[in-house]
Amino acid sequence: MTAPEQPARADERRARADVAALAGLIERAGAAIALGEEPSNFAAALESGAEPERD
Amino acid sequence: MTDWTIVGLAEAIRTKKISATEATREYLDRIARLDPKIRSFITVDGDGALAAARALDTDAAAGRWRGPLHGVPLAYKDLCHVAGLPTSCGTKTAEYFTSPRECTAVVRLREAGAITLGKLNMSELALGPFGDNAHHGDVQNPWRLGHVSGGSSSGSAAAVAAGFAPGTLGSDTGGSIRLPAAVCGIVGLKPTYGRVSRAGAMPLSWSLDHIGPMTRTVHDAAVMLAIIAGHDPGDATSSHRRVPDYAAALDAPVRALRVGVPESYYFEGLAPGVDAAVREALRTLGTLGIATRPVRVPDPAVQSGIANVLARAESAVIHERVVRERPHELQPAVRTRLEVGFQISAHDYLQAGRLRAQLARQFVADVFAEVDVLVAPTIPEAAPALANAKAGTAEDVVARMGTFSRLTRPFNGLGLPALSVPCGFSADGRPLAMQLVGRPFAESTVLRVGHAYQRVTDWHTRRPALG
Repeated sequence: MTAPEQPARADERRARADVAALAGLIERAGAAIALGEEPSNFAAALESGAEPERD
Repeated sequence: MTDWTIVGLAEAIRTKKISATEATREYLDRIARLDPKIRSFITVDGDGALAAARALDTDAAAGRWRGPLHGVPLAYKDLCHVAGLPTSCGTKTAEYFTSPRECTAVVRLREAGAITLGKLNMSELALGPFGDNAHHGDVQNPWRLGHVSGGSSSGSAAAVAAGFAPGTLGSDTGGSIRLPAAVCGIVGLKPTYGRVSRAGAMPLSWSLDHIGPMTRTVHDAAVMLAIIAGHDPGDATSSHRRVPDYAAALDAPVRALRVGVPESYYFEGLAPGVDAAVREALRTLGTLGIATRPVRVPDPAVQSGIANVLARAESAVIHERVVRERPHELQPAVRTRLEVGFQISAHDYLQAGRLRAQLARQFVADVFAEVDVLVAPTIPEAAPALANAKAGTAEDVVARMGTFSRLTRPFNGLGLPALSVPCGFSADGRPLAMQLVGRPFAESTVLRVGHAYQRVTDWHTRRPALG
């Protein structure tokens, strides 16, 4: 016999809602992302966006 | 006596107008007299500071100068590991964070001649923009006791504003340098991601953490940045780019620079007085010959959302042990924020990282093709009352935290340099501030504009009446 499932605490419900909202945002924003994009490209994006270094 | 800037005090010591020991003693006396009501320090290392000061005075007498900060007392957020001192990270545990190496930024400042006064109070685990802390006391805003000091580098900002130190180090994952700097009426710089090593400092989110200076003037921030910036083998994300002489570049002309004012988001929903103060600052920049124009910015809500996914997932992993084993030790709002991170999927975390790279390229291409610096408010309202900030359930507080940091968080996700500069006061005397944002590694440009602004305004010279 399994214990009856407890109703979720208010903060758990809120946390789930937060995560769901963030997941929705990620899904929408990621719809058109290039296949070749990688997280490690971020540092390269900063370097390429900077003014060239002067000697 | 403790009304010095870093540049002024360093010069006074160099010209023997004051000794390092005298300066250190003055700061320690002021901390002992006034900090019990501000609560900006967790650890004051009086003996260590005076011993270091005496050694530096001996060196000076012999003509040996360590560096540009010879004899200048500073203090550090209590997430920087400093040899011989505990690092609580604002938690109940005195030695929450240990590290095989000292905080690189602290080491570099010490090698430049700085003296360590102690370790500064902060929001627990650097999670929270209000500066409240159930274990070490809520850091009070020196301008208005009972009001928030900002966070998470609350003690770092309050200590500078109160005249307990001429400069401090803070860390910024979602606004934690700029928010407290803004509400305490001082300068705070979040450098470009990778400009300053985070080695030896407690991580909250390795994708978003930045270490930076908090000072009274932009000039002082430039001096501190030049010392702490640069590649460090201890932090793989630190950039190999050359470190410019930021202070020397401050007086270069600003006339040809273009400032952009975001058309959306940043000027929406502000408390009375905030919009007017920032727009008056823009008019002042215009009098310096800086052209200002409206500019369309990519949706900051997406940038903030991506930053939230990264921060929550990474902070939950980093601080998993305390959340799982000793959750009762954490403040409810801190625990709530960390627990959310366990529910972020691998898909969403990785996708957020990919999107971040794309958004950074897009933002630089769209915005910095048109302007050199973006100007926006740092805070949507002046320092709220602590009682109001902390009221309600943990979920209420977390929601309030998100609203208060909504103007700073996008620039952590983008990794761009952002400088908060005081630009006025609310009608009842609480500080207001704007942030100057530049392209990657353009700290020289944002510092130059901030310095030009401070040369023709006096907000940064005003002091809270503390006694």
